Amino acid sequence: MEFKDNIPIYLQIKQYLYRQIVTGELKPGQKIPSVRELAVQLTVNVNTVQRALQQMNVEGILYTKRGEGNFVTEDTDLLEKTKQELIDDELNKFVQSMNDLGVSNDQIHDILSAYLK
Amino acid sequence: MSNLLEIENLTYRKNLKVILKDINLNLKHGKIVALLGENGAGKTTLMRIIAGINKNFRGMVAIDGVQSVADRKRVISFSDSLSGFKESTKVAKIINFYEYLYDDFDKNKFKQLQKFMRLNENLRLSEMSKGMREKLIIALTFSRQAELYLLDEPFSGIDAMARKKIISSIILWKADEATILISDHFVNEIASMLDEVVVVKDKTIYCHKSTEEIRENNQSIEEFYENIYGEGDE
Amino acid sequence: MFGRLFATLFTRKIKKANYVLLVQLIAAIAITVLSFTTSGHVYFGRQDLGVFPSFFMFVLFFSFIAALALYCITCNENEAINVNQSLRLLPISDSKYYLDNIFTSIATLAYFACIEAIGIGISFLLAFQFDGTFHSEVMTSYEKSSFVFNVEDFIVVIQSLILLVLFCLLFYLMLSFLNFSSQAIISFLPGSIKNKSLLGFIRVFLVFILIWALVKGIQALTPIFDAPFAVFFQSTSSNDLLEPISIFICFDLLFIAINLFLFNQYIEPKEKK
Repeated sequence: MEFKDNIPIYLQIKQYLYRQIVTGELKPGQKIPSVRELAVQLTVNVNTVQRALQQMNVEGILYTKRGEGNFVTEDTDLLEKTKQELIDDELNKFVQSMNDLGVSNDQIHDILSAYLK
Repeated sequence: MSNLLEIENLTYRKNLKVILKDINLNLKHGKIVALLGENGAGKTTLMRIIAGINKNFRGMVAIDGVQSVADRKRVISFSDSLSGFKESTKVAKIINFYEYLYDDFDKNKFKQLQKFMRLNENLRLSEMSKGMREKLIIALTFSRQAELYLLDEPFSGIDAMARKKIISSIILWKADEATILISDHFVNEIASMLDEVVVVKDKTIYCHKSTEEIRENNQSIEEFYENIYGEGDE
Repeated sequence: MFGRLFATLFTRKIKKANYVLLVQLIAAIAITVLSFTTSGHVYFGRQDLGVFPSFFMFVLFFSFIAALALYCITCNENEAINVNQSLRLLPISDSKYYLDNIFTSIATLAYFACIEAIGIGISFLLAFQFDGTFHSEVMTSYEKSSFVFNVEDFIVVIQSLILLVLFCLLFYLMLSFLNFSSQAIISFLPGSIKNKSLLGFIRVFLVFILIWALVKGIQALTPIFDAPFAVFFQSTSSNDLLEPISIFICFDLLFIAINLFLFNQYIEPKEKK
């Protein structure tokens, strides 16, 4: 996985895990890889992974079983909310870049419908 | 948490030339820190002073509050270029040397690292490529259960695969409490695994910053580093 | 740690000693064989020697050359080990490191002397056993000499050995001193001198100045040494080796102290990548 160099890496790790959870690669109730495994897989520092997982624990999307590791929440409302946030994020980015290209919000609607046909 | 490494007002001269001046640096336990700077900026000298083999400096260097050279060497694992061994020395002999003379050398850990790096211990130093030799050095350095690891330019002149192996092994085998100081003159290859960067410029520590802090300011570590060295050229 | 480093350096130096011994043995055998195949006999003085006695003579002769060679090799080893980065990184204080280094060289010389003595003894026995002329020759000169073992002679032998060891030690120390002090002074000269031969010249020049200063210093010191010790030795005038021994011990200790200071303060291992 390639990181953007000018965004804090712990935020990018969170994004990466959110996406895995929302796309179902990590299922509700499933154990996620250990901190060190994730660190090696992403070639990042263990401290950074820990920071990301801690925040996700606070948010409730992950929960910790003592001595066993971190698990994905089974709270469907929360999962749904996370998915919605990801969608909003992507839409935001899309609209932003369309605006940058000089496409107004009204035009986006038409362009998108045309494109999807 | 108390500081692992403390350096206060360190000045080092050689041949009437100031090499390092007014260095102040504190490192905490459990960090991966890059020591960045141009070639000849004094990175190696600073590491050798910390490791207790460069002499005649002014100022204070302490590990866990202890200044004595012998005590410092006991808890520091320095990536020795193995220049003290003849080129005809077999790897197995160097392993024996480490095992016999370093109390904290962990043979099992070395075996794991050796397997991971695919090191053949029947080779002689002269028969090893630059990358393989660097891997051996890293394996030996990490097989000691030290508190502070000093890696002096472990990535210079080696290929991408060897570099990847070395980076993975750093992440995999670093003990939680141990701190690693890696010197390099490029940063982008290792930026993602760093906690902090220390930049040496104008014979002193120009800045010491957390990497995530730099990124919070929408800057990549490389940009940050290049800006520092760019300033002087304008 | 002191002991383990000692063992490591000792094995390293013993290897060199064994090389020297091997070369000596081969040389003695070769020259014996050679002189008997080309001219058929060996003249020593006016005497015509047999195979075994001439082998014994050559072993004895080469042992001096070998001892000298080994001494030079250990001198070189000492100074190389002082600046060896892989060894200097070991968790030991600089003082202990330097002492380990010097004393392993002395131990190596002792080891060499033992093997040498055994070798000379064996070659002597060979000649004594298998060469009739040599046998009778030795017996007659033994009877003529009326050799009696007495304690005083034994003490003199022991004292000379101690003196020899102290002398070897002092020479090692002097060499380190010249090396360290010239190195330390050079590290204070401007770094703009990049020319290797010029640096070498400066170094040799410094060494000469240091030797001159040393000689002057020793000359100045000798009367001071003589005065108090003279009184002390009057009572035991029979053992006149005691005086040089104590003077050597003083100088050895003095140079150990100076060298330890210089080593701790200035001597850095070589940097090589």
